[in-house]
Amino acid sequence: MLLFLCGATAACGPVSAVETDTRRLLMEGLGNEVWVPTYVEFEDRMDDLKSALKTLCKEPDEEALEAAQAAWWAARAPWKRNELLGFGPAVDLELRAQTNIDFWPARPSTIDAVLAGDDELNEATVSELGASSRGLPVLEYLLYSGEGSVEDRFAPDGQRCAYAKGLAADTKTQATALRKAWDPEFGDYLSNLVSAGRSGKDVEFRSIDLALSEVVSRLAFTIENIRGDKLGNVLGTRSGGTPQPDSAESRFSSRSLEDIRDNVRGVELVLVGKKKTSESLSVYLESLGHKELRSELRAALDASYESLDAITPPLTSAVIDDPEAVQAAIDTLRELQTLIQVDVINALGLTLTFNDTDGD
Amino acid sequence: MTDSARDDSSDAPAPRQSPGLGARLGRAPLAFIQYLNQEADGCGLSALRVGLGIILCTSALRFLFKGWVEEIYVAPRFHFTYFGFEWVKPWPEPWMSLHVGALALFGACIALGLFTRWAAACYFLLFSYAELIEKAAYLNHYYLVSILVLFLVFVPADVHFSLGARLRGGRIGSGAAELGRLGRVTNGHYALFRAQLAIVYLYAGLAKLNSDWLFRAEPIHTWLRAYSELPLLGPWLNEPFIAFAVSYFGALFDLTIPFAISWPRSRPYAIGLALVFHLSISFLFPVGVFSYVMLIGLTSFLPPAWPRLVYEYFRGPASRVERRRAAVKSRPQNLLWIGLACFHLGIQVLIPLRFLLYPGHVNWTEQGFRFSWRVMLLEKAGHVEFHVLRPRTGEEFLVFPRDELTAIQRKQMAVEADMIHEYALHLANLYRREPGEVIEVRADSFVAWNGRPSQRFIDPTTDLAAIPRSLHALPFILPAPP
Repeated sequence: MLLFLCGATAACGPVSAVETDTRRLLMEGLGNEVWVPTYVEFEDRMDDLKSALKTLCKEPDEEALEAAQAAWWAARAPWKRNELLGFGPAVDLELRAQTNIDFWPARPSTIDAVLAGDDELNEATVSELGASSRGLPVLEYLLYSGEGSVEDRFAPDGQRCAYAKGLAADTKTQATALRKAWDPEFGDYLSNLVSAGRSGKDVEFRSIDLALSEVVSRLAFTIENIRGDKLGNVLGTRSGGTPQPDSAESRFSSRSLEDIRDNVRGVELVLVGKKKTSESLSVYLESLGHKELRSELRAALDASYESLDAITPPLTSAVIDDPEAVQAAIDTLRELQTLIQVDVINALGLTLTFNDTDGD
Repeated sequence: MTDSARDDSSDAPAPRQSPGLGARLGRAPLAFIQYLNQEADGCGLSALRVGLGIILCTSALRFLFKGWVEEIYVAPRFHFTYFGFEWVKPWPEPWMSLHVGALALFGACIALGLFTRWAAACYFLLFSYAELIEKAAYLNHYYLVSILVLFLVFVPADVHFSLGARLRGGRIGSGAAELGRLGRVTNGHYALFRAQLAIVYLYAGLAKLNSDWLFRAEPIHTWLRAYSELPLLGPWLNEPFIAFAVSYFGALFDLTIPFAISWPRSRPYAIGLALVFHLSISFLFPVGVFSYVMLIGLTSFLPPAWPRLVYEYFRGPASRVERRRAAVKSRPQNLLWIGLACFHLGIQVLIPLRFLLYPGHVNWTEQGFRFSWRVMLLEKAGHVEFHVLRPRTGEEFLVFPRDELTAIQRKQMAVEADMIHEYALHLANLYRREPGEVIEVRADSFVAWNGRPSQRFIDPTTDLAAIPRSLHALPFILPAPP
């Protein structure tokens, strides 16, 4: 009878003004305190990059170029921290923000073809280009590669400047659209997670467990993506052992390893939070009696950072000069992935069956 | 007493005296066979058919409209197959959708009682085929559905509530059976359903008598904690004693419900408990149509005339004619029918015991787990990745299942050793450049179950590609954690 009443209560799903469900509070906390502010930070950094490019293109010199490069580098950090949100607005067919902002590895031949063309390049025309000709990796290529002096490359009337400024404006627009899609004051995608399964709400997830499962699965996927694509592919573990430096992310700026660190930082914010008291999965796991998982996750995160620090940058050289260090990082990150994908999922009781409404 | 029973008694030695226990036991099988052959009211069986048909139809429609045909059958580039059934493949679209659409149609025919036996036969073949396509989609209650539908091929379940009966001269809701045209329902038909359901419940109950369930209340404790935020009841659900109470109640329910619902004095309570139990499960856990299949199946334990009794309760006594139709008659013995049923039930008793042939804890190895009514026993999560080695060139590849498998397939494979093995063999074929080339495949696999820390599941040094597929014990499964 207890279960029956409980089931009925669950089905009716009270919608209270003050949220009491820890899982929903967790989603709300992560959304409002981590993910949306990170997108806001990304927008701000893109504004900085736009300004830096404006200065560079007005008076091109080494100092202005370095400032623009620093602005690009800084803009990558929040973007990479939120990379784990590879669902919802990030893959929305209309926005296609994830692909348009960060299609990698960059394809120099495609970018050079745009540069060599006569078409006018501005935000409007750039927004019409394909994903491989847009976004941060293309900006990276424009800022970190090319021959000749800075003055020649970034001549105020040149295509490179027009392209870079158009790209920065386009990426900023995408960043704003993405932030607004999540922001409770605009698109409020966050409510799909917070109010998952609530009756009377048209939400993407039919239960809070499914919403939580999506987030935890994304954490695991982010780590697997690092191991398989960002490190493994470059090392050659997926191509028979032959290193593939050209498949590295952010290879022109040598930010590959920092991109990965930012990815892990994003995962860390969800797993253990900024502070011990921050809203995080660990806090919820502790409330379920799994206190040991916080320290295990902390240790696995620390070990992951250490293994990444042990790789001498740039990654494109390390895979040839010190492949053992790269392999060690792949192995160490596996421990973090296993903890998330196996122990955390098991502790949360989030094992899914063949679909979300059938199974025994 | 039936005629045959009378014949038996006439052979008894004079002077007449009450038979001893031995004599009575000796006659028990014969009496039982006579009981099985005794004609029974067909209403209960027909009601079961209608209920099951509605579930079959709606379940197939749900499968279609929720896009599961694409997700389960069409999208995967690789399918996990059952040993010996590797030849079963999905049809290309739109044929696979038509296949499931046909299931809905045959389910509706079963519910309506139209060409019931043919519809049941077609449903059984099409449904079983669909189930055999993808092992990752295995569900115990789908297996049960296959069996129950197979029964409908052989039992006269369309004598009442049947459009077919009407077409053949009867009346919906009463009794063309009286005319003998639609076949006669016997106690044996009900006994077949009851025995099958009893096997399901008893094995489900026996499987719960393990240390996790009894001494740790797992996985119920983990699952209930997910509801600990509910108003009023939530805090209670976090309490271990509630998890223990629910666990013990669940095991006790499974072990006793076939008996409790059979005994008239306990039947009303058993029905109430069954409703509470199955509806609670349906509300709380993602078990799909499982609860409804079981509730419909349980109606076979009720008196065969139960739909008539319900009708009378609400609408007054049935007419004298209908009462006459409901009268119990006897019919000639049919030993072949009984023999086949016993053979089926014997197989059903043995299959769940096959786990005894495999070493290790069945809940860890899952060898002998399927088709054994081991339900709601595990909260299990895993991760597996593969290392492929081409010894001839020394090339090594790290393979993540997400490159090829769907999320459902990955989740299932990660915790099931036979699927990991099957996928390793597939990878060896995939990487083989020429026939006979040796490809080695090893698995890095970790599994956590029922709240334990993760542990390595598969021996990472074993070349899985060197072990042929079979039903033998898989030697590469590492021992279960304590």
